[in-house]
Amino acid sequence: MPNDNKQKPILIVNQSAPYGNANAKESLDLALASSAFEQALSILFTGDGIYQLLPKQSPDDIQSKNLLQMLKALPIYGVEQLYVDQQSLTERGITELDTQLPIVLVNSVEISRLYHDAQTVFRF
Amino acid sequence: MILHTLNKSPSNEALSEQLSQVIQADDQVILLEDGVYHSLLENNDTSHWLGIAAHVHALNDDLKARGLTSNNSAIKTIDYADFVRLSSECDKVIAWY
Repeated sequence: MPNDNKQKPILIVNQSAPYGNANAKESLDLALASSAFEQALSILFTGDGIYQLLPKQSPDDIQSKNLLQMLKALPIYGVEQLYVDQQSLTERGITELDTQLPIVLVNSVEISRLYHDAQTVFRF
Repeated sequence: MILHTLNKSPSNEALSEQLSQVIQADDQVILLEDGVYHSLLENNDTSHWLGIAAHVHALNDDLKARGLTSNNSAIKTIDYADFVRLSSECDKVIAWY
């Protein structure tokens, strides 16, 4: 299919905490692969997925790669906005996210729109 | 005295409910893996395990990995040597996962 501005985006929904399982890593792999093929991409963080955006992650001692550092590379790959569910932050008592990420807070109406505007939805 | 280990985040509400039914005030709790996200929340509710247990610990490596520092004064940061010591001091270990 030709790549044009009317192309509907792929929506990737991150609802898992980093490190406890492989979901966050696999989601990132899909995001990077999609952008390499110049696919329009929206990424939403909701539920436990917002834990991926906490600052100062340092997973060397649990033998994992730093997923936050990899998320910070997304703008280089053309992902300009990371949508974050405001309500999920409130429920988890989180007041501070990493300041280097291009975060856009969204409410439930905006989340619904992201799902409906997408051509394909992947949930991790 | 029982040692309870919990490795899931607070969004797994069924797990917290089940632990709350069983736990007693002098039991020990160790938060590990995604369980350390419980340290972000304060809960003084006496029907919730966080409000019941007097001794709640969190593994330092798992806190550090996730960008957390235990600023929750009710939760003590421990290492693997402490984990081993607590395991041997308690009558049994129950893993909540």
